[in-house]
Amino acid sequence: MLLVTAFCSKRGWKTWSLTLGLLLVTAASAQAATYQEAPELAAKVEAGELPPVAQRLPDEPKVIEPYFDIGRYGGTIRSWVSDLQSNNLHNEALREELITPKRGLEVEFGAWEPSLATAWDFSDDYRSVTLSLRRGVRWSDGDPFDAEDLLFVVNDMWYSDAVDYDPPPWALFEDDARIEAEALDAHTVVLRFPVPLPLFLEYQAEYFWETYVPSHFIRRSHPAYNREASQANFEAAVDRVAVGRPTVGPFMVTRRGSSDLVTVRNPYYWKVDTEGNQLPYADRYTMRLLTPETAALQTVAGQVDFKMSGYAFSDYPVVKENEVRGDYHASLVPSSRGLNDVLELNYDAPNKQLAAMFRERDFRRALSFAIDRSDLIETLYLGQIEPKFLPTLPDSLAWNEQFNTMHLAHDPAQAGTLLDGLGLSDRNGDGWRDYPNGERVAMKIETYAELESWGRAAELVAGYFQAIGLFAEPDVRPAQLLLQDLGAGRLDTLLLWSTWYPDPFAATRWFDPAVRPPAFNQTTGVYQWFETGGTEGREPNAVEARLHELAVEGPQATDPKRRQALAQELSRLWAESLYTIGLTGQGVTPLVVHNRLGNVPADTMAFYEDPGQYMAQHFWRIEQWYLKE
Amino acid sequence: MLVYIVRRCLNMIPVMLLISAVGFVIIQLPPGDFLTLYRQNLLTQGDPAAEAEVARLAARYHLDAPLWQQYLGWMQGFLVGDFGESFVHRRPVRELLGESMALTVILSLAALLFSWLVALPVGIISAVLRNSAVDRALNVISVIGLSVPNFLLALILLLVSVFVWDVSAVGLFSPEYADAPWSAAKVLDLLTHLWIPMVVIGSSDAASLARVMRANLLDHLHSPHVTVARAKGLRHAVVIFKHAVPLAVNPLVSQLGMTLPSLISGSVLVSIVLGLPTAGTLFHEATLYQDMYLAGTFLLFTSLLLLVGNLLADIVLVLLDPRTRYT
Repeated sequence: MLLVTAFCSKRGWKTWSLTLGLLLVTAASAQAATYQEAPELAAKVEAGELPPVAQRLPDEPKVIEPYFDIGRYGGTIRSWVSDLQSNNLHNEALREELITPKRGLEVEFGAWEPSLATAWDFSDDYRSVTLSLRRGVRWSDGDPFDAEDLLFVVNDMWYSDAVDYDPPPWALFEDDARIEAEALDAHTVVLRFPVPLPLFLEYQAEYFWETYVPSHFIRRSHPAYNREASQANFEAAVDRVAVGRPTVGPFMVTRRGSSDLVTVRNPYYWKVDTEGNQLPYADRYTMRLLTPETAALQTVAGQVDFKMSGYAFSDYPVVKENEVRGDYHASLVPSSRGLNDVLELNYDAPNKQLAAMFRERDFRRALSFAIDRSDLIETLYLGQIEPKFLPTLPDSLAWNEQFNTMHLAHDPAQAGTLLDGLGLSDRNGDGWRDYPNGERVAMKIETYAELESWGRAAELVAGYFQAIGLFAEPDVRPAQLLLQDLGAGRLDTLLLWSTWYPDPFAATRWFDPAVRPPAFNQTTGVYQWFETGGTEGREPNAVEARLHELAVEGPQATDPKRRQALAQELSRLWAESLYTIGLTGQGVTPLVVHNRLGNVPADTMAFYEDPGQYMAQHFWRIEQWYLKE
Repeated sequence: MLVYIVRRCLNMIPVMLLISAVGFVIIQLPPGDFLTLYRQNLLTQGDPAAEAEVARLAARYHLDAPLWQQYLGWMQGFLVGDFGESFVHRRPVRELLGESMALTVILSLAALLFSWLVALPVGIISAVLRNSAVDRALNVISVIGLSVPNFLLALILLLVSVFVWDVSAVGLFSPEYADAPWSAAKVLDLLTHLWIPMVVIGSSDAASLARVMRANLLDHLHSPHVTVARAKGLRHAVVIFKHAVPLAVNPLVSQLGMTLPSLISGSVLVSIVLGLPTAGTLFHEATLYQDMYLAGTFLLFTSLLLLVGNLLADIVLVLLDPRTRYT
């Protein structure tokens, strides 16, 4: 009755026709949602080699708003690497996560957006999460992406007896407890954890390990499903940078030679831009193997479209000077290293007296006072780094101005006083301090010869220590020689880099002595004590014990405020005890972007290259880069 | 002649076996092994999966077996054409070397050609115009070519090509042509990239060859048979090129056999600097990482080249100089 009256009255007519009209229009537009694709793919569709684009895309493709313009199809993006065996290669152009950190021109840390998973729902105690997968996504060979691809990882890789494949550290629990994975339907997965995992989103975002695989592809090489397959076949199938392995990333590998890696557009990529153009815009993304010097020359010649980090810092001035010649833009951006240079002391060094001295807080304070940080930064980084003591990143839960700026003073006199107080004075008149028993205090500042500027840093640091009477020598060796002693715990010190993740508990290995002790001493000392349950090694002191406790409690703390409090405690503990000695500060790294590469927000973003977590490509959104010419 | 060749070929086998054994041991001599390096590399990159990865590799490549067992296992593979697997690349050695050998040999042959094409005329001119200004100038250039290290010369030429000629000669092809099908343009692109390594690698050899050629020719220019030729009234050019040069070239040809392998190993640093995908770069990486099978196979291959090269040189010598007798 109401309907008829509405229909009949004048006003009712208008409302009705309006509503009807709207309904019709929406229905029509939904039906006619068209997508565009790259010409080379369109040609393949014509030839019958590929299904039409609407069938290749999922029901609701992820829409990416380009940073600046709608791009054009075509072209090859050229980059370079200095190591073709590195794990980072996978990160460059191939990786996608289930849930992506929210990144855009405005950086919003701690926020997440749907990617391969459209929804995620944690239980209140964070002991389970329900993931809804994006419907209709396909692997690069056309096979559907579904719940099976997640279950396979948990059931057939991590916890399978048929293959030797280790779960990631966060999936290992006491008493061999396991994560359970269950598929509620083809696109819904429930994961149940034995302990609360509030940092699950952070874990699944790291590129070191996978939470989904092309199960249809790996199954063929899995011994449990194919009797003729061996462990070697399985490992070859699991290799993420192998030619022929299906991917859901924007590009897929077509050649992995000894001097370059070539990737081409993935025809089944599941993202489109705001006008319905299937991404990526570029046809290809190539990485060439070059030494940093040659790479600098290549860049100057205009042959590099994009590269972040990798350049030797000393080459940066040349690269910067020739921006016009090479038609590119070069700048220095903050890197993901909380501390680009840090001195780690081996608390169980071969020389027992030295080890005992290292464990004295006053000795560490003296070492820190001896270092002239402004001189170090000026020499190594042309003054481009802000000195800092802790390996925290600016957005970190552990960030604390007070602790960051502790122990930065350069005061050799104070250092001398502290050393005198420890009983270290020159007993035989040779100009070097000695232990009470007359033996000279000697230590080596050890690092890699060929990597970056650590060799130079070691020389400078040794000089600073010599200035306060300690016989310190730089010991800068090629990797093969250094690594022998490193593995055996024989180094006195180690000069390297360090970082804590924005949520430090997402990667406890950076501060937990039970996982990665200072100077990598996994042979003697505290690490052994934790490994053997107390039968071997040295019993941890209060600081080390607390660090380990934080590493266990932090990742399971479901209340973000609690985690923040723990992170702040970590900072305080680390700073007050000088567990490692920060030498410089957050690293800066050269960034080169060619002017012909569009939609790269090189200047307008505050960001940093990530150590594996908030993947760099998701700042960049590499899929929406395009070649302008 | 045939008997001689066959006997020489048979002699090669024990020599190769000896080289393989010695090479295998030497590659292993630096302390530690591939696994320690790999593991620590991963650790310093911050990769937490290092330990497990290493244990797997140890099992897979039998790196915990005694040395002689590993050697025998490797040798056994040779019978079926399996040269082992590269730890670093996780691919069969045969594939890796096969990919890069073609380019390596082309490059070395090109360098060889260049060095001879330059050395012979320079040596002849120097000898004929002895002590003239031309001779002295060529002498200076030869010495510079001999003394400047290859990789430095490569870097300098690269710098010059980038900053003066606005062309980058890194790698084999410009990125546009790398995957493109072969065409005239692609060949031209290849040539523009090949000239620097060709010149650099060939230059030091060219310099020493030129000096040797000069000295030899000088000796022969005053020998009796050349004097006779002159006395007969033959033209100057004929005297030099038909009578003196063939004899002067004799010692150069005999060392030709050793040139190819030395060019290959001499090209390692240059290839690294110029980003060329040659076997030299593979070998360098293999020795650094103690990638035994790759390094050992490469070593054997170059040794084979040396032996075969020597044999070929001896045969050419016989053809060139009838006075030679094969013993």
